[in-house]
Amino acid sequence: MTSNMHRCAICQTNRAQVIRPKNGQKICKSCFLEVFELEVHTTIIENNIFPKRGERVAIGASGGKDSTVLAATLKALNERYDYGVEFVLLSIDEGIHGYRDDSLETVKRNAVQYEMELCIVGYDALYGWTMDKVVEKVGRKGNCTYCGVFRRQALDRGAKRLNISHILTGHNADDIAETVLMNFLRGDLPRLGRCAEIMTASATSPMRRSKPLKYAYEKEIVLYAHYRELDYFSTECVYSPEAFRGNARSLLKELEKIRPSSVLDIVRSGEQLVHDIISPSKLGCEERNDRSEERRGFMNGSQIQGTEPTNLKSLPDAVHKTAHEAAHQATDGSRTQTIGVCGKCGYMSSQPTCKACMLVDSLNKTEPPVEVSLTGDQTFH
Amino acid sequence: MADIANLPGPAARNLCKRCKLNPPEITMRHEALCRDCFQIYTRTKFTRHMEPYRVKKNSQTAKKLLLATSLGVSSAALLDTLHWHRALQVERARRSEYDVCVVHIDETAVTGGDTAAATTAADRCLEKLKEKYTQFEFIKVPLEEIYTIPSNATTVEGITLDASTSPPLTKLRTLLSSLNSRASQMDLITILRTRLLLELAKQRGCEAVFFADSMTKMAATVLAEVTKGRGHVLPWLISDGPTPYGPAKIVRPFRDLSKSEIISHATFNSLWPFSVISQSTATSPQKPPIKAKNQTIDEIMEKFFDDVSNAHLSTNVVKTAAKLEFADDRDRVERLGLCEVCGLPMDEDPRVRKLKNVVKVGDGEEGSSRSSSSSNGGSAGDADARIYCLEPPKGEEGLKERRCYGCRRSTLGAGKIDWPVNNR
Repeated sequence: MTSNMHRCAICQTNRAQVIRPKNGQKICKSCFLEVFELEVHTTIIENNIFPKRGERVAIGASGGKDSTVLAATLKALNERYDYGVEFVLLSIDEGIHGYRDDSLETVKRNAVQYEMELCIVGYDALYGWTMDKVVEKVGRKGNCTYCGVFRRQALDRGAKRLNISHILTGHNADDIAETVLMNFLRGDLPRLGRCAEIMTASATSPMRRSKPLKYAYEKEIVLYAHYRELDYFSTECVYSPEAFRGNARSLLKELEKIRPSSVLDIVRSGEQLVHDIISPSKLGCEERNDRSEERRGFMNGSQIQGTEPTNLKSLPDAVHKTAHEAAHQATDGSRTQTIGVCGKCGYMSSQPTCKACMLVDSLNKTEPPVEVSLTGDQTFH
Repeated sequence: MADIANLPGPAARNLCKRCKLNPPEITMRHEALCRDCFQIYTRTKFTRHMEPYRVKKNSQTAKKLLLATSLGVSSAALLDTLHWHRALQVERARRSEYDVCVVHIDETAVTGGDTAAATTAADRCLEKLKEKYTQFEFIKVPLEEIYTIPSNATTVEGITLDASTSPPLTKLRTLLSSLNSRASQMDLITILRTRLLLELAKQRGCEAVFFADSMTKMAATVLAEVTKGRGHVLPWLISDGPTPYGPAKIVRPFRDLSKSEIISHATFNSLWPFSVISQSTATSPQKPPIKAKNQTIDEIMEKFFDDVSNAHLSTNVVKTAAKLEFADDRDRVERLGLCEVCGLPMDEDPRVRKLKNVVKVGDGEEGSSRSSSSSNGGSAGDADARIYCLEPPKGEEGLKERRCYGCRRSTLGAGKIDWPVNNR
């Protein structure tokens, strides 16, 4: 007597329990898990995310839902489809009391559950500052800038220490769609051109970064974590209002209500903006940050000349660079921007001093100076 | 004593920052301006886009321009400004470079609501405009007329013969009722409206179609089209100039003015009676609520930019979108043609497109190894189904070769559609 309406649209046998956020399809729990994993697998295969067997790959793990689902899915898929890669959990300890210390406990449990090695890199050891101290100093406004710059470098350093050159992050489709909208609102053309890329290798980072959950909706991730009863930490960062992203986020939620595919459609649009080759004449824009810093960078004589992009994906960047060069040659004489190393910490940088060191310097101005160390503390499990 | 008298007294602070003669009436980009100086400002922004329509010595016949009017307040402002511009030409050169035909596309038969009341309001408004702007020609064309435009190409696959015998309005209604949401309906109505205007321009020998889109409106359009999955044709959707639809160009002379500036302009020039929108509805923060589910993507975006009321956000969006340039446009049009619905260049799987571009630009040392592993041609198209959940309708597996991503999304589940216009 039960009508077909309650049957799973895929297997036609089980009772439908889930409305798939992407297309409103009513499916059963096991089909949902299968479809979700299959989609991540498809993303991995079609984008050739693991080109080499035997490679060690880091998963940026925060203990939150995205990275936990990423680790769980990848473990299952690696066993099922035999990618032949080894995963390592890489966590950053920002030093936020009541948030990170608890979530790191989750990551530690995950490491045991998924039988993965765990490496924790702390801001404290790397920069001499925890986020708690940073916030105490700079206040709640703008502290995300510090955290973002520090995290990017900390991930790279952690991976380097593990002798790994590929980091996976848990960015989902909603994150990417929000970023596309935000980059439009901020007028950030260069970032708009790369924010929807699944894999990036920028000139300022030796690491490849991939987002295997790029096409997964946040809702699906929550659902997946729920059905597989994954152990994750769901508290928001205590310092993260991020008002601007909040704007984009609520806009996206509204769009999703009237057309659930909107999130994917924005990602798709973003991908179409990725590799447009912008003619130098049209490049009136600068990178969003640090116009003056960039100029200072051009004056630095210690830069390595002719660093070739090592990965094809970075080519659009190279095009931007050439255009910048051209623009600057007209005004500044013959200056070129190339990637060198930070004079203070030795990390890759297009400026004489890397962004993280500059931020640390600004923090240290009234404090006893702290050396940025390359070693930091490490915790292995 | 005389010196003191010459010094600007405290009263000077209450004068317009530009002319320093009149009391300011509006604060515009941190400057307090009087009505006249504000008028100069808006007209300067407008005139910048009128360069091709300046009086030229050797022009023989007047150019014909088609002005699209929704009878909204921006339309009224553009009509008035064009009237001023043309009158100035007549006054100074004793002739004008152009004639204007004002076209209102009547969509009341398909957009729902109180059709009779909307029609009466539009007719009354058009009558008032005719009285005021006697030099301009006014016409009202129903949207369904797009079905009676003589088609220059052969029929599109899938048009059933009996469909061609039913009246245009029935065809249009059938098309729209096959779509799954009001968002999709309005999307296609917008495309049809633009195409009808371009067709009318062709019929009447007009060399340009003028739209009264403000910066704010265009920012909403950019994000709306991105949301609909049309990132690949963004430059075509927002740049002025030629279109793939016909010989006429598109000009948006208000593209540098924000919506609030246009509203102030209309208020200062008492243009509200010449619009179907009342001043109170346009300026009140509370818009009449539409059922959340029934909103369109464009409406959500317009509301977003109304709410943020931060002019530089919309400037950022439009300027950024205007800088996008797709070097492979021509190549894509040659290989893939135009979308059968929106008539703009087709898209292609982002990964395939990227591969083509990167290999072409760089030396492509890694390109060959990559192309072998990534799927090409037929299988790549399936990614639309696998990754973007955009399944082709049954029996229409080849649709992705004829219809772009955004249009397939808007016509999702519609089956075969009777689309009135063909591409060249």
